[in-house]
Amino acid sequence: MTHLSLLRHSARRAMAMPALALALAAAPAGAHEVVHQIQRQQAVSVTLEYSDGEPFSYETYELYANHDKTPVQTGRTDAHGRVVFLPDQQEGTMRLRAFSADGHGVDLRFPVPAAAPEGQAGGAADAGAGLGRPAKLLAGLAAILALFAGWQLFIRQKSKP
Amino acid sequence: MHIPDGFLSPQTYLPAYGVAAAAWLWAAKGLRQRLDEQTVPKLAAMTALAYGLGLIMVPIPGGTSGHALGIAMLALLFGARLAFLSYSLVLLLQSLLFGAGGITALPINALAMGLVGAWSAAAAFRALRGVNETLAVVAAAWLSVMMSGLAVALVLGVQPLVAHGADGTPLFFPFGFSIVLPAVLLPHALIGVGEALLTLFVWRFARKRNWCPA
Repeated sequence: MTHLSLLRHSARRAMAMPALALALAAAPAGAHEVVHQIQRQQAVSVTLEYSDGEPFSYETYELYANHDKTPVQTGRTDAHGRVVFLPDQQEGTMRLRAFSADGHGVDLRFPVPAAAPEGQAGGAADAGAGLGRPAKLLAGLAAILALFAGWQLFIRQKSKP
Repeated sequence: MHIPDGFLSPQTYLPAYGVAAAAWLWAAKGLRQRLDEQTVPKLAAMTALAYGLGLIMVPIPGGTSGHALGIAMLALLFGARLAFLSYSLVLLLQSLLFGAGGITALPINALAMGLVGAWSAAAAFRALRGVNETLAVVAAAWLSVMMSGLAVALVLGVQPLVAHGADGTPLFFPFGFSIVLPAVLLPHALIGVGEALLTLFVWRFARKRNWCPA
């Protein structure tokens, strides 16, 4: 090998090194890139509100799948008090914990709602199902009055000679 | 102010059940003498009123809402022990029927609102009655709300300290004292004003009918 060819070889090696370094650096840089997909899917929506209908909005929540200790989703409820999520599994239970700083909130466990046919809304599970609010109010008042009436009868019986 | 289930650690609510059970026994002692035939209908009516008041949510400036307690009127008319017992019944029914407050949190709710609230109302009323009766009723009601709120906020605020994971993540209520104390107490300062006016109205109504203790 002549002196000139040795110089050319060294120059090629010197140029190849940065090119290799760039190529290596480009691979992990590509892995850090965030790509996105925009899709319309069937999500589950849980709406939280105070009993007067005011939405439980912008409050902290944690969502757990089954009995996992790490939440699958955390964040804040939206302006309408909603937590919206796409369940990874078709069955099982979810746990939703939501807190406001003043001590309001919920700790809910519920089954993953069944997926609705395309283009239809899924079934709604209402925590207030069963007795309506007025009926519950009356039931509570009746329980209070019955308890005190029972006490009144008891002390009347006891005070009889 | 009703703490729901899932907010308190077992380290909190299990001992609280013990303390509350002792307090309920203490309050029930001599019940037959204190809850006589004349007192029963009045206490029933006031307990029903407190139950209803706790379910009426009133919007508060700042995007939250609150409700009156009714513990001060019970304490002023019937004493702290009867007030504590009847308010515990109110909390139990609100929890079972409406989910307002949890069953695990019942002893804390009862001790904070029923006992601390009733005691602070009765103490403030006794201290200020000699100065001015209206002032005493108003101060008693406002203080009962604030002291109940303080007790609830302290119990909630301590949760991240007493129950957290290995990495420090809170396992139950996540906010510490610096967040929960102002979040609970500031709205309740306003709720206390409403409670004071309501208690004064009920006190005057009861006074006209000679319901009030001497």
